[in-house]
Amino acid sequence: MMFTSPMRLLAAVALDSDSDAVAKELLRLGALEMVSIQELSGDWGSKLSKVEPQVNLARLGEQRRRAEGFMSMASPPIPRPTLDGVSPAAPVDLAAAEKRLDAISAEVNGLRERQKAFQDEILKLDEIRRQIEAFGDLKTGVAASSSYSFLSIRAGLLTVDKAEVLQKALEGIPSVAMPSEGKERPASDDTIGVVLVSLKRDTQRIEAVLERLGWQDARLPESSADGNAETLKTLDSKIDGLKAKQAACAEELGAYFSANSKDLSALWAALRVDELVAKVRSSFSRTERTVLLSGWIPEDKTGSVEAGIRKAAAGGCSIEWMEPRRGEAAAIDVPVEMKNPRILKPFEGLVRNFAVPEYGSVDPTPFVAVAYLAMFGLMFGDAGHGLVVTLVGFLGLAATRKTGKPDGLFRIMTYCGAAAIVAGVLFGSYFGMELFPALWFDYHGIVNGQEATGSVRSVYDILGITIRFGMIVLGTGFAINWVNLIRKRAWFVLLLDKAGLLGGWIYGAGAWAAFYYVGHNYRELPPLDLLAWTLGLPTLVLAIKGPLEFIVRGRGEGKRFKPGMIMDFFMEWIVEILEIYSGYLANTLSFMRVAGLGIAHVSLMTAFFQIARMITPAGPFSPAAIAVLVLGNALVIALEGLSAGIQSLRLNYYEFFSKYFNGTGKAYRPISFNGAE
Amino acid sequence: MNDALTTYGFLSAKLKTRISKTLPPEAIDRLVKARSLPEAVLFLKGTAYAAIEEAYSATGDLRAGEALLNARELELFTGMFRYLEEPVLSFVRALSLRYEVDKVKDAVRLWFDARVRQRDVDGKSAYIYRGTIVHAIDVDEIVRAPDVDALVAALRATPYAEIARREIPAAIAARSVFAFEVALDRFYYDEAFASAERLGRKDRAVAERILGVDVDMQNVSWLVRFKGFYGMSAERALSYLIPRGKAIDATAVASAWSEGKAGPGAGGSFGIDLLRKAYGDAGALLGGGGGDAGARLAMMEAALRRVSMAEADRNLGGYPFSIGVVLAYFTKSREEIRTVMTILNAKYYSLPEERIRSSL
Repeated sequence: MMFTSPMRLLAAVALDSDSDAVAKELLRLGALEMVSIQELSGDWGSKLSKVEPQVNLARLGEQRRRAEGFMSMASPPIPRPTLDGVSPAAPVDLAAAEKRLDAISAEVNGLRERQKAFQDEILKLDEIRRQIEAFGDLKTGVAASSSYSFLSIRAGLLTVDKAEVLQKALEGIPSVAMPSEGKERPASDDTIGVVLVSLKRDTQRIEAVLERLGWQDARLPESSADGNAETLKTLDSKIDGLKAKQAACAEELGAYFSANSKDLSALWAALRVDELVAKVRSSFSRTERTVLLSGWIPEDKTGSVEAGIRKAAAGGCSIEWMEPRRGEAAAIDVPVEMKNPRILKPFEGLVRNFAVPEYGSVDPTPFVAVAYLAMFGLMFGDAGHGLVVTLVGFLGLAATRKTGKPDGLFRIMTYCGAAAIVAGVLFGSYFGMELFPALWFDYHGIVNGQEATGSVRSVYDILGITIRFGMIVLGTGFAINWVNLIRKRAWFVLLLDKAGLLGGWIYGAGAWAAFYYVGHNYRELPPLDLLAWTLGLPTLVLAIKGPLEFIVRGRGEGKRFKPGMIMDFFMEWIVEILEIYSGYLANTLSFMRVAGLGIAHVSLMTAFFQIARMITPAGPFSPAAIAVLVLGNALVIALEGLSAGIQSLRLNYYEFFSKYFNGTGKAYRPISFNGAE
Repeated sequence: MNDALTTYGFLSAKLKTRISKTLPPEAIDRLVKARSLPEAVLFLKGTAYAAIEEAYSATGDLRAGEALLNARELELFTGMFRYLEEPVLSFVRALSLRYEVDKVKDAVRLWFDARVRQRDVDGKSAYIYRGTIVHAIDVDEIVRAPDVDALVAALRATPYAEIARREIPAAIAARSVFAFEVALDRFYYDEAFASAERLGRKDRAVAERILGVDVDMQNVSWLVRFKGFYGMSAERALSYLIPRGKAIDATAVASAWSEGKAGPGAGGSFGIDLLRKAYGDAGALLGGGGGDAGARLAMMEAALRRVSMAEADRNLGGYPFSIGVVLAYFTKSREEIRTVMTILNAKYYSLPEERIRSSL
């Protein structure tokens, strides 16, 4: 946890006949990051040939992705099975798999075609609807239909039984037929008036139907406006019916996938296992009868991996372990594993988001966790607001648990919320109110100019706290850097670098001088001789860095001294002094933003309370004033929460990391049955 | 007048974010390789084209998804109006006329099919965007219009009414709306160039260069068709030419026309010659110019699109606070939608992979 995990490089030889079993065992163990044996130095590597895959890897991948696509098409999506227990007796028959997937594709296509047919009908009915709406009156439509629009609107008489037959006969033709309720309706009980709206295009087909049913043309009823509404209603119900049929198609598809989910899962698993085995084997090299494999493994897993390989190869193998950066492994990049407890994983994500640390260096995750939460708490110190953030975090976690999406952000929210609760209790702030006395100092009272007791009495004291906090963070950064440099045995850098011992000395002395000056009411600097020893000396020592570096390193590289270099050394010294003095001052003062955000938080809450008091000058708050307070709190939680989160991240990335972080590492990505693609 | 940072800061960030969501080449490759339309559409899930997948899953209708996507794109464009001030606002409005002109073309084509060609157009107007882009246009009124007068009346209060009054009677006589569509395109370019003239010096230079390439693409594409497929005379062909192309003007065309091999079928090589002279870079993409006229035309259009995309990339890689970013987005989004829809339509017709690639 303190440092990145130590790694070992595996080099193994097994019989070709056992290579499949070894590949599967390595996938099951999920600890090996494959390295091509050709990458290991030594001329013997060139004498080996690559293991040719027994199957077409690209084709396997394509079929597997097709299966995944169909699995995601199901509602709910079919989950991918875990592959640990899958051990197919024989490789999957790719041709048969393709045929099966083609069949599924044809089924889906058929259903989509049916949906499309319904959609065409819906669009035509929509067209009719739009035109009827445009007419405003069916009679106008009838009168104008000869030259205007694609609609045919006609009224007529049919016997009651034929009217029902008409509805069936018109199925599949975009049209609306509905009984007429107007005055023109005949007295006879067995006939009914019908208004028929259709597209002119279908006139011939409709004419044939009407003739068969004994249709008699009649005049449209007077109450055509009602008829219009009735027509639109009928159209809407027809459109709804078609939409329901479309939805039924989608349900049918869902049912199809439910019925085939086991098959599809099994097919996907078989394809995925074969693909992964082929992928692992493709990094093997071979001689006539043996295969050679290599890869990085965390030191604590070497035992289980060795035992697994020996078991898979039934003892018929030879295994060698190599130290990173030494011997034949010298030229190969070592992957970096950051091993942190689950509770710190979200902060590990924050570190990775910046970069992967160098192999063998301090893993900054625990320090980032502490610094991030402390900064957030100081900027967002309100127990009530923290509670809300925590609850939102928990709700988010519950939602991601269902969807299976990454939950890092919500975990961080719960931690940040907890940090804000602790800070809120220390500052006595509960939704901007002092429900309980502050355990440390009354943040609201101080910002609002109230008389305070104790060590923190004014805004300047709060600023001082954040500067001291910043110095602790930067000091930790120096310490981590020194540890990293000692581990790397980079003695020169440790001594003379600006983030090395000399830089630390200047920073410490500068801080002491600054506090001395402030402690003497900004009137007196430390004694000059003391300043000369504490700040002047290290600054002068810094001047020898350039020449010393040239002597130690430059000569080794064959560089020759030229008089012009003296000017270069001098300029480098001046630049470095400026960088150290202005840079470290800026880094430290940058932490004043922690106080700034905290003060803004308090000020905003005070403003909302003042607005609420303007609404209700005295006594208990009115509903309107309560609404202002609720909205104000919500706004502060959202805006300040976001600001505090971002600023905490910024301080970690740019002030803290700049002292020690070397993000040149390469993440450790072992290949496994259940890993990401 | 605002400085460039104030004018383009927000817009540039917004559009560049959108551009960052464009499909990577691997995604396009996967689309092309997909075994069927449903599988291809599935790849669009979770991308900027998710609207197509959603609409297709619910209705089986690819065009409904395309219409939805185009509508969103249009709303993004018209939504930019509120962040802009003159003269940039007028220029962006003029650019959005391109969408409006396409909308008018689609509606009049349906009207023409129904009234003149007596074809079935039922339900097809559903895919046309109904919202207001620059002018209020009632698509249904256009499609329903019983005659030319009603069609012109439907376009009242828009500049397209005059164009329709002038061009549609001739279009009916020729049974082709081509001349009407050319007039609409000329109108669009006239407006775009006129509003570009009012931009600041740097913006104007960028705008005229990109619009010029666009005009060249349009002109060459037409000229090839005129010469290759219609055997049109040079004088008539030149009368259709949109002025102010970046490199291809009337003189260049007349000279290439006279040098070109006469007769139908020669159009492709004529266009390639013209293009090689105008764009040295594109020449490398055009190969030997062999194959039939259709193949050469496809090759040339692909080359022209690359010229246009290269121009867009150049603008995106350059100074970010200029009209170049807006124009680059305009080009890139249109091109990507075209690519995606070409692939999906090809999948609908089960066209082979090579045929799809050749048309991209």
